[in-house]
Amino acid sequence: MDLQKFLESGLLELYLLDQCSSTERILVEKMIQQYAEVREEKDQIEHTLERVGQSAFLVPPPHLKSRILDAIKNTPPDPSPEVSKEVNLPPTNGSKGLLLALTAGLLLAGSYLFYQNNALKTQNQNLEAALTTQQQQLDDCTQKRAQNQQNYALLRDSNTTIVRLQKAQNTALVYHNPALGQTILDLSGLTAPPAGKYYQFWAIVNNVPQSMGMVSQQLSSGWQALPFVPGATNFAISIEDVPEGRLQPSNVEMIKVIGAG
Amino acid sequence: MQEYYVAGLQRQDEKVFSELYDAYGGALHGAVVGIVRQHEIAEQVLQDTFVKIWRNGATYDVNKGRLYTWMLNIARNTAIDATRSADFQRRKSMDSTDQLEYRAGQTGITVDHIGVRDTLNQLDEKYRVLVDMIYFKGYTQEEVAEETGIPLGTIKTRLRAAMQELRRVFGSAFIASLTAYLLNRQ
Repeated sequence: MDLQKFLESGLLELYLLDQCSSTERILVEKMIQQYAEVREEKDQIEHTLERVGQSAFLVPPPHLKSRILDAIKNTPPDPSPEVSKEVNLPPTNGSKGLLLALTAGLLLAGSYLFYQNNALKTQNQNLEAALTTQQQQLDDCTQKRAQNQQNYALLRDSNTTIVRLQKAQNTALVYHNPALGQTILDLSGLTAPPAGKYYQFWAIVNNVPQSMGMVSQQLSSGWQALPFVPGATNFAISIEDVPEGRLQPSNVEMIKVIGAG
Repeated sequence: MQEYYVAGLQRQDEKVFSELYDAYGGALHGAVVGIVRQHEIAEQVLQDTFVKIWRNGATYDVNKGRLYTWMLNIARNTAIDATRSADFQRRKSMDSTDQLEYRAGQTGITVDHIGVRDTLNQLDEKYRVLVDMIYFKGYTQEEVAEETGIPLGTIKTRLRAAMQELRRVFGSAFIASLTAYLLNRQ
């Protein structure tokens, strides 16, 4: 734009009164930067505005100054956009340095808390797993304790008959109590069956064998509760080649008549 | 002196800020009262203005204009916002200078010394109305155009002429008044 035409347009006055559009503002700032005459004219207008302002001087109420000074004590400066843009630059004063230090500190603290949180989560999961295992062990112990109490009660009962099934060094003890309706098997002296073979336990009632189930493979566990069979006169253990057993014993390994001594 | 105030604002110096208030509080108060025309609202606007000056002092760019111009526009915009938010009817009167309550200023230079009404009255009517509406009442050029029916382009050029006229009138009046004041003090 022509310099003289610009100066006569009134845009510079409007610019200084903050009444320009954004397009006009860009033009004015460009002209200010480009022409010394515009800068000089701008200074003159600003001086005039200040004189007009001072001429319209109006004394503020006396209490207002202390009110304003109190208000600014609680008012921190606004962070400027320029400051935000310079965050990645080296700090040029205390506030920027402090800002960077605070940012770095927050990042470090955030990272530390993140890893701490993950570690605590993992630790918590491990503790929960350990607690579950311990709870299962406790349940097993409680169950065994109840079983042992039941077994001891059976052993102490005067109506309990002890039947020893034996072949060489291979021994199994049967505790049978018709009054309590209980039969348990002590497996501690029973050796493991040959590979691919399974022990099956029998009660003989009126010369007819009735299966009382398969003998547990975990022989070292000691005791095994068996279903009670009324009228049993003999007990026997057979060796079978199928894990589920058979309806009739195929190969009686041990047999003993109750009360035979 | 401007550099002294700017440096004080940038380092958040309360003592310098207090001096800044003493130096410019009256001028900005006059500008604010001209727009809001209610003293209670003017007090709040002036307080908000100085708080904004305090908060944004560090961002003031001395290359873009004088400190007073920057503060004046903060005061004017804050006052205009106040009239809008308070549904202020600032169009009721066209003669702001008659309603302003002039009192003695802190610097000792009073409005009577300067004679702002007399000075404004020396302006051509078409310029006086324009200065009154835009400077003292905070009208935008579009509002002036709507109110007076004067085309926008004409408003711009008249404002330019009015400022030149003010420069001439105020320059001589200000110097004369200041001289009279200084002579009276002796």
